[in-house]
Amino acid sequence: MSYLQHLEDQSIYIFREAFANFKNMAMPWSMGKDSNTLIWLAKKAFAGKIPFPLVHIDTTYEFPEMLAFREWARNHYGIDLIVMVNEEARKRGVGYESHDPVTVTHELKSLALQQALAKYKWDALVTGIRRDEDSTRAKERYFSPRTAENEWEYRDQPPEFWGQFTTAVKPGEHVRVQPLLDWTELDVWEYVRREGIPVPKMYFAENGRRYRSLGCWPITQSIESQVSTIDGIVEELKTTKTAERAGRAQDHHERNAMQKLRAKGFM
Amino acid sequence: MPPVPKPVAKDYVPAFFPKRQGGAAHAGGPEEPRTRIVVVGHVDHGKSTLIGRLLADTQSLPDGKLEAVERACREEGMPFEYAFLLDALLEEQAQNITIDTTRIGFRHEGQGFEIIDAPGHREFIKNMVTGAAAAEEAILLIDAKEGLKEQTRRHGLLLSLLGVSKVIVAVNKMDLVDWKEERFRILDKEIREYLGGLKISPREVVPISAREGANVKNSDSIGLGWWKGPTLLRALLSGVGRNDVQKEGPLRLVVQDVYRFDERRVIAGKLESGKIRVGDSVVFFPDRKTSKIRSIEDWGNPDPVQELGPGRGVAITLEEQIFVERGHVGSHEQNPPVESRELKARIFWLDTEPLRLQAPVQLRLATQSVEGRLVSIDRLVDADKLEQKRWVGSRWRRSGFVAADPWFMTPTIGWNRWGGLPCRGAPVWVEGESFWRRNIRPPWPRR
Repeated sequence: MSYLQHLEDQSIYIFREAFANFKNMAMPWSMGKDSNTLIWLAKKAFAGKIPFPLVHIDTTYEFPEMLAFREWARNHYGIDLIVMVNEEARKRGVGYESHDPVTVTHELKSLALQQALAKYKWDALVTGIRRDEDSTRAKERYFSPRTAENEWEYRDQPPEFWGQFTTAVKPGEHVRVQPLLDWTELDVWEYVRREGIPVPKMYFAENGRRYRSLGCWPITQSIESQVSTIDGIVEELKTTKTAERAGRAQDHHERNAMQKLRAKGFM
Repeated sequence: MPPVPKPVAKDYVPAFFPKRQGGAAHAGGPEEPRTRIVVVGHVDHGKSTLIGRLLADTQSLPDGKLEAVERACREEGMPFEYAFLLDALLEEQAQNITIDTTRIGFRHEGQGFEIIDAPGHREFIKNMVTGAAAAEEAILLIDAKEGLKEQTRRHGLLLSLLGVSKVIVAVNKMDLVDWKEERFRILDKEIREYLGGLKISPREVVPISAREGANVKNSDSIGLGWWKGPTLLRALLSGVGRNDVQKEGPLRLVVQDVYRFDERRVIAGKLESGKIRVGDSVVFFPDRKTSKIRSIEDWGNPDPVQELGPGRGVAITLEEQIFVERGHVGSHEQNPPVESRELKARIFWLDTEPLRLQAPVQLRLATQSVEGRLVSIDRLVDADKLEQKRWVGSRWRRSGFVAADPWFMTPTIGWNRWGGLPCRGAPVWVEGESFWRRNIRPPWPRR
């Protein structure tokens, strides 16, 4: 069995374990390559039907192309989609025009998610994070509990091995279920190619530039690239020495910016 | 702020549609096995330096990563420390310790590897077990000058307890003993004897100097000119592929759930071992109801699937509407699973509360979950020292029958303290085939 097949089976197992153990799940969805791989895997896990809602945390700084993709995918897959905006923070004037990227990311992503959690009372959230993206994500668990304050207690994570997971929480807490933890950026693209998964056009070069990782437009940089096919992306990734999230400003705003963000609920 | 992006045209098609390459049926190509290796050894024997050296020599570090480590070291007022590559938490960097396990990938000669860095401090033992349990292979490091230390022995014992039997020993810091062959031979003999006592036969024992980069990727013709064996990376490469031993064996279909989202009633689960085919008669334990498989559901695949093998996730529909639920185990009529009220297990108790005899606990075996009680203890290993302390007599008792046999002895058994904090669960695993032969209920109703 190929390694990619092993990853697919493992992710499907994780999806099903989560759905069997939690009462009220949801799946945050950012429209990117990992998010679309998650939809695909969920469809396989549940024989064609995704039995929980997807959540888009809309920062109001989304690329118009990505919003167009969101509407296309909603219709294409027939997904139950909840869109969440931290209106309160926007009214206070929180935005990239006046605030640093770590503050904005915390307010418009993490706190928006926390508001959604308070409203819908989800006990599990499926995320698309991967270990190879960031060195704090490399320390994550497949089932990673969060406190009622949406905090990650990274100093005291539960043990996890042999396919047994943390599947119960106290009221107000939730578990982050992370089926792509073992996948690399290259694995995702090879899987997208193997399966023929539709992805946003923004990943492919236009006028000599393409996006490798997608976030809010004021803080997301494209890279120089001529690549317009998935084969091209796969080849580019095999030789590149640039980190995937190099073009995401919030990660590099200060030392350990990701640790601080993630401890407070960022994915 | 960059300029506000323009709105998209009305007829903009936002999706790119890759041509499907054939899904799961697509074999070979760029997909490759990946070996997970845990690096263990006494503190200061050069774990982090070796990991840093492996990543640097195989050119696996993205641009700017080493510079970022240099900056972090300066802020902490330390000389350059490779450990910061993996010890990403501020607390870890400030105290120069590893709190939680990390994984980082590298590629060499077309092979993928994943290095698992597991903490060595005893207060983080649950994290160490979490890391080491995921490994297929281990590198055990020994300082050539200091020789075997307490932690070297502890980690060797831990590997044997976790069943990580593929071990490469790296005798590090050979530069500090003037690259002397005699010193290496003494340590080689000593470590082979110690690991032999734990029933581990190291695949290789190699001399290296991680700091000098000797015999890690490149062989060293000056100091280690006498060494005729492989480099460390060569030794790792020679083990690739041997991990991919699929459990053929009898059918063990572990049921995760039953879905009725539409007119279909789909049994979802995983093939722990064996194969299924459309038309096969499958018996579900513990109820022993039988049905033929009507279909294998494979969403996204335009071609109907007739057969699936070990390790695969499955979704099937049945001819007969028999009662099946999570925790049930499907098998063919030949080679059914054995059932038992009692089992003998080797457990890691990772809870902060002590485990007490007769205290009810939740026992999980794959997706089965029952209440169980500890009846007696056989052998005790001190988690702090990882040393065997004493031997006594032992047994577990469970309420209700559970299908259990060697085909899922590893790696899917776990358990939790009953009613306790679920996040502080403590896994367990079952040991010894001989037990199954002695303690089982007759596996099949006599006809």
